[in-house]
Amino acid sequence: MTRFADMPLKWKLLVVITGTSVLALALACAGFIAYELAAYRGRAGRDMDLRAAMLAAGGAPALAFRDEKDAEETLAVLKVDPHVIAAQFYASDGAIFASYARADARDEPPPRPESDGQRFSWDRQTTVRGVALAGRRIGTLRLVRDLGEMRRSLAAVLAISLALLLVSSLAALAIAARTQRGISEPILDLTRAAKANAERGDYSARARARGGAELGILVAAFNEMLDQIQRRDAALHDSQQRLALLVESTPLGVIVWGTDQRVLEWNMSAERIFGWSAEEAKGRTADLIISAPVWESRVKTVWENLLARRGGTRFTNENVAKDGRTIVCDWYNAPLIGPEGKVFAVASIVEDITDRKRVQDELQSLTAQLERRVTERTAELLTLNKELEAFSYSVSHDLRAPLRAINGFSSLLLVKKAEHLDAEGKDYLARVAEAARHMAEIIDDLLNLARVTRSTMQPASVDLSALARDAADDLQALHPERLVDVFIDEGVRVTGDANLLRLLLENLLSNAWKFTSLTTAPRIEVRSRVESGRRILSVRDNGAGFDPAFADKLFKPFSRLHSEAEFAGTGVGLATVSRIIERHGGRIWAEGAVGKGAVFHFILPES
Amino acid sequence: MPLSTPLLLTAVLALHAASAAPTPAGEVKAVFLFNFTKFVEWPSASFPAPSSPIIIGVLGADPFGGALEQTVAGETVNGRPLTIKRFKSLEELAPCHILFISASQEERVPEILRRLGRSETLTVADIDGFAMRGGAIQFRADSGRIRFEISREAAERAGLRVSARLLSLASVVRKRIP
Repeated sequence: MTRFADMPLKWKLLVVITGTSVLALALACAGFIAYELAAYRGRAGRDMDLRAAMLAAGGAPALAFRDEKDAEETLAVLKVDPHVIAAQFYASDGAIFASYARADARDEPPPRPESDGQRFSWDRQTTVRGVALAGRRIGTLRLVRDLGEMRRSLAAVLAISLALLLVSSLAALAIAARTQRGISEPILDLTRAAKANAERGDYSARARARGGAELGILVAAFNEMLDQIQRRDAALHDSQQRLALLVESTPLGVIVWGTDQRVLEWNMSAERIFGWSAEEAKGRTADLIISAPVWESRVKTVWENLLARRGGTRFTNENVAKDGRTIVCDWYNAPLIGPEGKVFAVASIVEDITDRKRVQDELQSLTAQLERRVTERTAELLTLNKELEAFSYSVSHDLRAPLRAINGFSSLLLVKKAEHLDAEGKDYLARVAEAARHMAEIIDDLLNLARVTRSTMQPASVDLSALARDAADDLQALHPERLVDVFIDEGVRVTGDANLLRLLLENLLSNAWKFTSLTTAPRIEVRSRVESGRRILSVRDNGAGFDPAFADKLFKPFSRLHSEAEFAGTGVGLATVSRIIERHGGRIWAEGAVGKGAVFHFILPES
Repeated sequence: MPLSTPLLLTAVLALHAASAAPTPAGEVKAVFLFNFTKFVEWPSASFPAPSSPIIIGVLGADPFGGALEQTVAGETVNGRPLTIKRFKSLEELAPCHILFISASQEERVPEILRRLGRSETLTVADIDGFAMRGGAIQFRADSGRIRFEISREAAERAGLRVSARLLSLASVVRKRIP
C-alpha cells in the first residue's frame, strides 16, 4: 500500500477531505446509535420494573399461601404482553414456584433466582425482583423480555446510518474532487515548472498565477524567483563570455594548473609566450616550461606555499620556451579555493618580460653612464666657476685702486685747480667723478655678490624683525627727507646666517625704499604668515611695481626693468638677494604690476 | 397485656410438651395463620394501643408444636408484633385476634362460636364443615395441599374485613348462618 506521504497531492486532498467528513459522520452515527441503545434500555428497564412490580404484588398472596395455580394464573396475564416471553415465581426457599413461558420462549430458568436487577444480553432482558408481603420478602419474580423489537429498531437505525454514510461519502468525494483542484492544480503547475527548471534548466517555464490568496502569492513569488534566476543566468552567461573573451584576448598568458601540476587551461597568449599550443600543453606538468634546476631552487617552494595558501602569489622566473629559448617571465599566481576551503587548482597569469628586461637593463646602463658624465661636467663647472669668481673678485678688488686714483685726482683737480678750468671743463670733470663713483658702487655690489657666494654659512636663530628694523632705520638716516610708513611684524625668528640675512633685508628694503620714491604715500610692510605649514615672509611696497611678464628677469644680475634716469641702481641687488636665499636652500618669488607696487615672498627652511 | 413470668413459663413448657412432633402440614398451617394477619383488617378498637400485638390464640390441643412460635418470632405486621396464646378449654379463653380451634374441640364448636359472638376474632379451624357452621376460615386438604375455605359472612359479622386477594385464593362459603 502506498504511504500517505508518497501519494500525489490530489489523492492526499481527496483522502483528507473525504476521510474527515466520513469519520465525522460515522462518529455522529455511532453516537446516535449508542444514545438510542441507552435510551431504549432505560425505557425497557422502567417498563419491566413496572410490570415486575405489578406482577409481584399480584403474586404475593399466592406465594404466601403456596397456591401455585393462582401464581400461574397471575403469570398467565403475560400472554397479552407481546414482549415478555417467560416469567417465574421463586419461593422463599429458592425453588421455582410457578412459571410461564411463551411457546417460542427458549428460556431455561436458573434453578435459583439471580440477584435482583436488570440484565441485558444480546436478545434478552432479564428482570429479577423480590416479592414482598407486609414488608417481608416471601419469594422472587423473574421476567424475561425478548429484545427483538430493540434489535429491529437498532438495525433500522444502523441501516439508515450506513445509507447516510454512503450517500454523504459520495457527496464529500464529489465535493472534494471539485474543490481539491483549486489547491492541487496550482501546486501541480508549480511542480511542473520547477521540474522543467531543475531537469532541463529551462528557466523560461512559468506557473500560471491564480488569484491573490496564498497559492496565488506562492505562484507569483515562484515566477518572480524564476525571473531573477533567468536574469542572473543571462548575466552569468554574459560575464562568462566576457571573461572567456578577456582570457583569450589578453596579452597575458593565463594558465590553470591542477594540484598535480598538470595544465588544465592554456590560453592563446600562453601559446604565443611559450610556443606550446593548448592541445600540446594540456595534461602536461610544469616541467614543460620550467627546467629542473629552476624548479628545485625556486618554483618548488613557491608551489608548496601556494597549495598551503601561504603566498607565492607573485615572482619573476626564468622559463624555457618550446624552441629552447630561455625567457624571463613575471608570474602572478592565485590558489583557487573550493567551497570547502580546499585548494583545487592554481591560476597563473604570466607575462613575458624578456624584452622589457633587456630594454630596462640597457636603460639602466645608459642612465649610469649619463650620471657619470654629469658628475664629471659638474666638477669641471664648479672648478671653472670658482676660478671665475676668484677672477671677478680680484678684478673688482684690483679695479678699486685705480678707481680711487681717478676719484681722488679728479677731486683734487676740482678743488685745487678750479681756477684753471672753465665751466665746460668743470662739467666734464664732475661727470668723470660721477662715473667713477657709480663704478665704485658697481664694484662694491659685485664684491658683495661674490662674498655671498664665497663666504661660509654660520646658521643660527636670527631675529628677522630686528634686522628689518635696523635696515629701515639706516635707510631713514640716509634719506631724512623721505616720509615712508614702515610696518614690521614683531618677533619673527628664522634660522640662517645673520650676516647674509642682514644683507638680504638691506637689499629688499632699499629696493622698496627706492621704488616708492615717486609714490605720494609710500608704505613698506615686512610680514610673516604661515601657509600650509610653511612660514612665508614677504616684503611689500606700493611703489612703481613691474611688468609681471618680466618677473623671471628680476633676479638676474645687471638686468634692470627701469631706466637709470627713473631709478638709479646697479642691477646686482636682487641677484644678491636671490643668491642668499639659494644658499639657505629656500625659495623666492615676486608678484607685482606696473604702478601697483611689488611683493617679494620668500621661504627659509626651518633649522 | 402484661403476662406474669410463671404463666409464660408454664405456657412455654406446655408448648414444648406438645410440640414433640410438628407435622409438615402443621408448619404450613402455622405459616398460613400468620399470613392471614396480612389480609385481614381488624377494627382499631380491638387494639389497646397502636403498637399492641396481634394475638393468635390456640384453643384445645396444639397441632403446630413449636411451628407457630417459630413462624411469628421477630415478625411484625403493620408495626404490630405477634403473640401466641394457648387456651386449654373454652373457660380459659381470653380475647384474641385470631383463634385457632383445635380439632379436639370439635364438639364444642357451636358453643365456642356462640361464646365468641360478635367479638372481633377471626376463627380458624381444620374441622370439616366449620365454615358452614359459622366459622370464618376452615383448612382442608386438597390433593396433598393445604387449602382453605372462607365464610365472608362470618368474618364480616365479627367486624373484620377480609382482603379480596385472600378471598380469591380461597373457596368462599356462602352459607348463611342461622
